[in-house]
Amino acid sequence: MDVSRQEAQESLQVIHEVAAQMRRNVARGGGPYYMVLWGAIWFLGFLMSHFVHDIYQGWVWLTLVFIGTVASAYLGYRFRSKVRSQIDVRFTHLWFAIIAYSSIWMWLAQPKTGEQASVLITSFMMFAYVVIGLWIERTAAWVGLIVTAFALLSYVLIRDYYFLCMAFLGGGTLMFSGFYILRKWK
Amino acid sequence: MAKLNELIHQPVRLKIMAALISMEDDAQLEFTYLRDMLGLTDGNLGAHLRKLEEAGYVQLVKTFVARKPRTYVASTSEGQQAFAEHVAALEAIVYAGEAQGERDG
Repeated sequence: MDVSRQEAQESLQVIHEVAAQMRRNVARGGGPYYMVLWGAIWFLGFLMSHFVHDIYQGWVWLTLVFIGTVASAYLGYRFRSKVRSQIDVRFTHLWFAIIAYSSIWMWLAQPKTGEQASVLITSFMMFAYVVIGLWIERTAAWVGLIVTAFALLSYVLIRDYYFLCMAFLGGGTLMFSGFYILRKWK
Repeated sequence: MAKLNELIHQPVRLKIMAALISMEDDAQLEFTYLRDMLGLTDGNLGAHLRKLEEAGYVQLVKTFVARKPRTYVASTSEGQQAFAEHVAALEAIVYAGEAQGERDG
């Protein structure tokens, strides 16, 4: 079989383009949209936590997490995968494991303030991002590390403004990263 | 030296294999997804997939989702190896051409 250099180059270009298109399709398959959604929920939740009285914070988060869960289920249905992979199953298992273990550690640690509970939960969730980043998309690992650093620094250095910092730096980073990944794979 | 694979080199089959190989090893693409992405008809895609399946390069998985039949396509390890060899052979041709060009120029 004889193939000219130009034909070989064109074939390699076709392979490159199809692979890039697949990556774009997979990127559009939901992941970044979840980041934007939960970034918005964090932004609203932390912003309201800063301004509303402690006793209402639980209700604020309960309502927002409920909305986020319903919206996530919708996204899951909307972008239900045309691509089946064991990695989807591993993702689901990872999130279940994170939620289960964070519940155990929350119960053991018994945080006394909203800020303490928040920084603990944030570190659990961002740990999942780091793991996902190590598996697939490096950006997610950076998001996990950066948001964890923001959470710890805000908690240690400016605790009075912790919720406000997390609204802009935590929620903002998640939203920005979601938009960034969508743009990167465009 | 890696050899060109005539079966894979056909333009449509090259795209099918590229789409499958660009995913994780265990990934399966839905038939209609692949058809729409590559802009093919059911018959055209089916015919190419049959050839790739006969060569042992892809595997068709028929299943039911919400009581509707669905067909998923996955690359086999044999297909992944054959595709990698084909790409290596294409790259060798390109690099050989470049080296020749540098010598001549």
